[in-house]
Amino acid sequence: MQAYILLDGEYATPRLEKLDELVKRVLGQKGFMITEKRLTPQELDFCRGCFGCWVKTPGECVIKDSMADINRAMMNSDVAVYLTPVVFGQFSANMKNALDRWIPNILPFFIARADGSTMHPARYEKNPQFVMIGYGDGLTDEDRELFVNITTKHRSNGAVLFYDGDDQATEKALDAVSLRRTEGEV
Amino acid sequence: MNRNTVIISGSPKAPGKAASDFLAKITAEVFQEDGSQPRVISVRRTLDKKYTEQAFQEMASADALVIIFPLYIFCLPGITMRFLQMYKAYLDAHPEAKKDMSVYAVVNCGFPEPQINLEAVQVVCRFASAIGAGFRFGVMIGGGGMLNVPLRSAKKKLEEYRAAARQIKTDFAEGNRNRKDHILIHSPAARKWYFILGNIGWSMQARKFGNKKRDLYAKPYQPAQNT
Repeated sequence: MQAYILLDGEYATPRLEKLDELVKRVLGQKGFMITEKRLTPQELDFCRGCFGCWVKTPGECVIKDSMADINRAMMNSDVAVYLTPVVFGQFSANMKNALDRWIPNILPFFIARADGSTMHPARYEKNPQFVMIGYGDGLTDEDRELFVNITTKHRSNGAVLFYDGDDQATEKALDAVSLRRTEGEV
Repeated sequence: MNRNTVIISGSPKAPGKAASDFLAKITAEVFQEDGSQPRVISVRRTLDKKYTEQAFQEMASADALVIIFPLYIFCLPGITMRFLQMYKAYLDAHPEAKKDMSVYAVVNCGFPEPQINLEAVQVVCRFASAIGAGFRFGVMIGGGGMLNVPLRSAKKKLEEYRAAARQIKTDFAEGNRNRKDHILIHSPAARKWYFILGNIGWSMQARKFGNKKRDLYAKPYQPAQNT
């Protein structure tokens, strides 16, 4: 089993380092081979909204930087774990660039979800289980609720956890997540 | 009353090609109707040209910020987040620059339903709170990319947007006592047609690059053996 951990080196706080160690320990105990990528500040270019990854080079971003390696490794993993600062209730800029540039892994077409809302179909039959672990100093209930809604309201295979420095609580929460590739839509 | 307004276009697309730039232009025109001279700031141009210091000074002196951007993965695009994070850091480093201001959000998405923009509006609300500003309301637009196409239904929706921009202007002018709920603008095309035309559109765009429809389903990162 393969796990991919993506974290934001721009917010490399002691809390992140503790969380990183915790996640690697838990995944290691579960038998995962772990690949980790620490994004350096402004390492990734931002998504330019060109849709080249859908119509020019389908499945691959046209920007040549480390995102191609990230996408390839992620799509070949059973679980993708984002250790992300929560800023204004969403992902930090660095992590958001990585998420925006994940869209080569879905198709451009429009389909309807079971709840009637619009979505893009998955490109692959199977996808990694996504686990977003948010952290930050002084996160409010509003921040948390917003982060959960952004991550889970409009997608099918994302789990959200928060890390406040309580290793036991996070380990227990991580234990409750199914860490297997998912089938169907994302 | 001082009506110093800054309109921010948060699109990552090349300047002039983005729906957010178009909406920023329309918003500026609405504010100019009564003689105001709002400043329009392009996030991409500002970051590309490294004009951030000047842009942040203008933003800090504003009485109202209208932040316009496309919805990316159900929240703000990375480039818009970068810009707002940098602005927050600027204010933290220049606490004397902080002042009361009103913040409005305009979010356009590539899906027909405008409600999907709600969380992005809420992120702007959290941003406003983080910089000590007052958030007012958002304008949530479905099928935002269609507002500047030459269709009768699009023109009608564009007029809806002008009316929404006037509500922002009026709310601001009246000292923020007017409106509290968000404004929804639905896609110019009915959902069924939005899907049909959109899906045909992707295939047509692919052809410009020598790709056929079946090529769009490529799986370059297909695992050698599914686990």
